[in-house]
Amino acid sequence: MAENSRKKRAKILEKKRDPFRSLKIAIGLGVAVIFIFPIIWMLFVSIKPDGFTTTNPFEWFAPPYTFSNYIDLIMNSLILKWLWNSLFVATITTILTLFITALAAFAISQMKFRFKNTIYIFFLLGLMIPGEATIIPLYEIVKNLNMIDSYAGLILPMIASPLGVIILKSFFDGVPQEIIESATIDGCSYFKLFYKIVLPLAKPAMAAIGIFTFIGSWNNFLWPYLSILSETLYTLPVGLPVFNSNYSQAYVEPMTANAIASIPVIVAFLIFEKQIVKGISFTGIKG
Amino acid sequence: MKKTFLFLLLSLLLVLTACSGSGGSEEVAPEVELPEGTTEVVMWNLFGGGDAEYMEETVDAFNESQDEYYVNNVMQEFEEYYTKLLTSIGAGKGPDLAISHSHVLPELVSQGLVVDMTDIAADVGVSWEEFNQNILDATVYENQHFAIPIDTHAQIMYVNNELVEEAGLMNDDGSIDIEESPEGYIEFFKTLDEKLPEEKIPFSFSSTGSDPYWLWWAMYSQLGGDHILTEDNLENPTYDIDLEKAKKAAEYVQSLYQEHEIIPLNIADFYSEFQSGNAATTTTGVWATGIWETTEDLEFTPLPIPNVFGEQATWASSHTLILPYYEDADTEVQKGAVEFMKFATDNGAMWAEAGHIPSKDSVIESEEFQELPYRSDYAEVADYVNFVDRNIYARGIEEIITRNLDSIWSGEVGVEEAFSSIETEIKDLIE
Amino acid sequence: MNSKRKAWMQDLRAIPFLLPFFIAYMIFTIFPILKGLEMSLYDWNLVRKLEFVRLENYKDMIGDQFFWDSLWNTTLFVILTTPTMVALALGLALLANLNTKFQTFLRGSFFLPSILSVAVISFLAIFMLQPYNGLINSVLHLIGIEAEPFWMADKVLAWVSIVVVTLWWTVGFNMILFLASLQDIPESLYEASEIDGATRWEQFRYITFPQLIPIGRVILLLQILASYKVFAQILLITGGGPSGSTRPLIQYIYEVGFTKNNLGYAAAMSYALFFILLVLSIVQLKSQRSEGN
Repeated sequence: MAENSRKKRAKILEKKRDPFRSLKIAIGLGVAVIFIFPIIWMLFVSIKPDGFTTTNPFEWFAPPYTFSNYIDLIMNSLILKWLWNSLFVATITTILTLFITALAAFAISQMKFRFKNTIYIFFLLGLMIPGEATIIPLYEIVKNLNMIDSYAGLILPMIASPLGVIILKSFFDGVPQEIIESATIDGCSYFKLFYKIVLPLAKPAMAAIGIFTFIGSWNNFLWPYLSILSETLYTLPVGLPVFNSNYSQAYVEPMTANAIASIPVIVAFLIFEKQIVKGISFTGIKG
Repeated sequence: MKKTFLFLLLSLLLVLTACSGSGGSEEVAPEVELPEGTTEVVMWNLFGGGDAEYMEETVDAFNESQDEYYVNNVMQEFEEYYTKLLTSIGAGKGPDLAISHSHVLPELVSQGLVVDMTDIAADVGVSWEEFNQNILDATVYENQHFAIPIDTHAQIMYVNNELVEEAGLMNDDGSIDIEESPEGYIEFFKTLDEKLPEEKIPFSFSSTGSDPYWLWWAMYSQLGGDHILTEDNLENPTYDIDLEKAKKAAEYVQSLYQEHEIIPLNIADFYSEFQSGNAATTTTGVWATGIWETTEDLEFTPLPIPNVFGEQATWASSHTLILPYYEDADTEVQKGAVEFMKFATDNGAMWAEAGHIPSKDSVIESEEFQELPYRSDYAEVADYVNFVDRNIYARGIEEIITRNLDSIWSGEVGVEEAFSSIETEIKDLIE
Repeated sequence: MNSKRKAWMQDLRAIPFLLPFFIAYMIFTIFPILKGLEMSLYDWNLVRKLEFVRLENYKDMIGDQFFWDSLWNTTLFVILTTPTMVALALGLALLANLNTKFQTFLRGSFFLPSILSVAVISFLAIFMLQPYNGLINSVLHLIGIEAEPFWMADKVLAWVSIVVVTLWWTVGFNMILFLASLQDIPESLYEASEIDGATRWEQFRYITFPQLIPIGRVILLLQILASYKVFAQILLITGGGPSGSTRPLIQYIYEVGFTKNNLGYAAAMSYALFFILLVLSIVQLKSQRSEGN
């Protein structure tokens, strides 16, 4: 209620203050339409009959429509497998990242041990090591571990996130000392303390890092491009170009592939927009 | 207690994900249900379009012809094929049997990535004398056989019968009215340009990449140019281009794009322009025959690239089958792979359906091949093709020349300048 | 003695918490730096280590025109995208901050491209930019423009295309950062200025803008850092062409390592990229540190 009336007031104020408000809204809407136009176009092309092409822009949006392209691709290509791979890799990467960074951050924040600062600084150094610049030796290392062309090879190199440790550590630092002390006095083990008390308090930070990691993994191109050889292990970013480099090139089939790859994330975005936006502003500002 | 449990859980997770990936070579191919008692041979090929289909047909026929081996045919993207092949063999996760172009063989052999199959071939009963000796030579190193060639594929010209006839360029006997001279070749396209409706393309062709490079190579060879590097040494050749001829060929091809505007620049997909009847002619590898042939309403004629400069020649390469090298290779699998090679070449007419010229003389003479339409129109080309130089730098040189030629076609860089940077770059590469 | 034992006990208890991260971090983050140094001193291909060549790879790099060209291309990309990105992100954030019923739609639309995979946005771009029958050229023809711009094959236009596509794809992310910061500006500041009779422009100039400078600086540095890593969209849209004129450093490293089968030289060039990025991230961390204080 209070939120609502505050908004209303702000709106009235804004109207009063800003003579160009309507113009700005119009510009905003114009830009917004330009931004989503290609995506709308993609969806329309994907429901045109296979092989359709035209030089008249309007015809792309006109009937006849068909969903047979979707059925065709889903039945006759690996696209669902790639969708699954992307989902699987991103999920496992996110879980493992959260897991190991939370453990490490907890130790550094709450436990006493020697060389703590040195270790923390050593972990922080990782922030300055860009993955792109060590990709060649990383390839060689993963090759020697016999993990080229495997899920493990896709996931494990991506999970040690120093940024996650920093954010979680600062979050754990903020947990009131009284809670910790009373728990310790009750004979609570460190693990219990971590699992039962500190972790639940860190949910917002975990969610933010989780979303950030998930999107990063979902969109990762360079590493899967280098380390995956089998089509059956492709993730979407690496697999989609396959539709585009055949001898004969059409619009409808690749656009359908693009649409299949995009619809789930668009839906997820529409559902989780708030959390995603929060996660990005939270992690982005820290990082 | 729980702490240890947590740690164990994590380790388990790590181990699980790690193990899910290190399963060895079955990773490179989709799982297939093997017929009982057969040995699986994983094969990689780089084919697309029609080629892929006919290779699949050959593989199916082989799998049905015997019950000892099962070839699992995996299609790879052409563009990344060699990168992936090198990477996968290097990582010990490559295929048991693979396709390689003849010009890439020296590189693979010199790096020890290909198995000498002389003994296995003798065991399986491959008879080398049945092959076209020119092509076979490209697979022999120090008297050892490192590959079995399955075809020659040359660059040829295709015309759309309907459009060419409309422009009055088809003779009564169905042959194409094209004068074999520098002027005649261009005049042919100019006539098409004038006589056909405006939206029809006289010559549908790529503005970048391999195809125009091949056409340049054809013209260079027709002018009497033979090589770019000396052909006496696989690993230490020297730069020996015939500069005048190379430049003349490039200027000639460039005039098709720029001066005469016969080839529209930057067509996104020159195959589909020809396939949809939008273009009167195109020029590409013989594999297109298999594609045009299965296109409805497309009447076409294949013909060798006209002898413009006096010496019949065109670009060609050859697909060969190889055994990648692994430390712990299974000899049974290798034998199966060579059995397939023998089968594929003995039944070369099947592969010739894609458009390629068979590697065995005996197949070319066979009734089966002679009965195929179109193919015999250009099978003779195999006798005068000019293969690119045989050395370990072939891929690098192709990349250098192609890239520099690209900027000639687009009109950005002059011929003189392009060839001087070709010289610098190639010398840099081979030094 | 006793206290030493106690210290040991405490260390021991911390180990299970630290170890998983430590192992992954050592193997996949720290070790590659050392491995990369080793590789850069050898002739090293995809199959095996060949001979020790000392600094030969680095010498080659200094004399390699393509290395410098691709480094310049990457730098050009940074120069072209960074200021436009920050300006556009700020503009969109201001629009998305308007109190209208379209607010959710505006934010959603500006951000939507960011969640799409790089492969998707690249192919959308390719299909729209194709000559003759691409969507953009079709529209141009429709409104009577006869020209046939080659959006991906012309050196200048290829850069324009890449920059526009990159802006479209990633600006939403930066917009959100600006937006979060905009919403943190206390309403009371505006109210107070209202009383003083400040105009709308003055409010922006003296309240909004200064409040956005810190996040602006963060975005700027993040953007420079991220842009130096550009690879995928260029590879997919122009392939680095026409004739190498848009090829970024990472693509060249990839080509040398994997297409030309020369991992040693690729590792040496990676080191160059490493130092560029290292310097940039130190600058970034420093400025953020000073921000925090």
